Amino acid sequence: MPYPFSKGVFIAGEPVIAGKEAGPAELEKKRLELETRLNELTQRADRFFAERHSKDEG
Amino acid sequence: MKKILDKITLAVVPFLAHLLIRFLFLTMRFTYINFDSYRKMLEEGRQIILAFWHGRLLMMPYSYPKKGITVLVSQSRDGELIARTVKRFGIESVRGSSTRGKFGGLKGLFKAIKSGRDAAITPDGPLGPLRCAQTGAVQIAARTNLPIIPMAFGASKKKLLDHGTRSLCLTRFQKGCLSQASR
Repeated sequence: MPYPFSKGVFIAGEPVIAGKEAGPAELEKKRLELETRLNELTQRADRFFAERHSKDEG
Repeated sequence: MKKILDKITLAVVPFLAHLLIRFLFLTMRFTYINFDSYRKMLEEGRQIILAFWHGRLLMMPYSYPKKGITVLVSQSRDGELIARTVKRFGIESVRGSSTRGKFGGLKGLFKAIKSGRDAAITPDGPLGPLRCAQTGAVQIAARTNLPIIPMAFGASKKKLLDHGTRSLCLTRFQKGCLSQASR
């Protein structure tokens, strides 16, 4: 939960597209793609202010 | 007596949660990254499926700069609290499960999309494992031919919720996945 008066960042990722003709293997690939992308974005969001802070100091 | 307490909880918690989230939003300063193409899609009236991890749910009402989104929320009691809270932001909800590929729970979301609404889903919720995407999100994307927009939120100062509070954000059936991203 963010603190009041803190800074927040929203990061939108590249869309994940699963076409209508996608079979089970393709769906699994897309599921993994979504999972990986969400984890990368979340990590990036978590690092966003830490990195800025250290840049400001350096 | 328990029934009365239940009713009070269901009325009071969403009211307070909504106030808290609005208070946070009003006092915080936000940066939006990669929002240009996302906003453009929405402005052009293209429908989307918004996806975010269950653990980052709290501020997500503010990640969608439009009206007309329906979110899939679990049928549990916690789900009821979430549904009532987001309703105060003008967000509709359908109740069901996105987990373990049960398309049954996705029917409501499918209907909402058919009626022209955008959709939101937590691919790892509500039963987890945390940060493991279940198949529901991509199933509905394939069936409706809509793009999934992955969305994340971070804050400069935050408090990780303790176990008790996190029952709202669950840890049941945890195995793997969580370690892939920092908490």
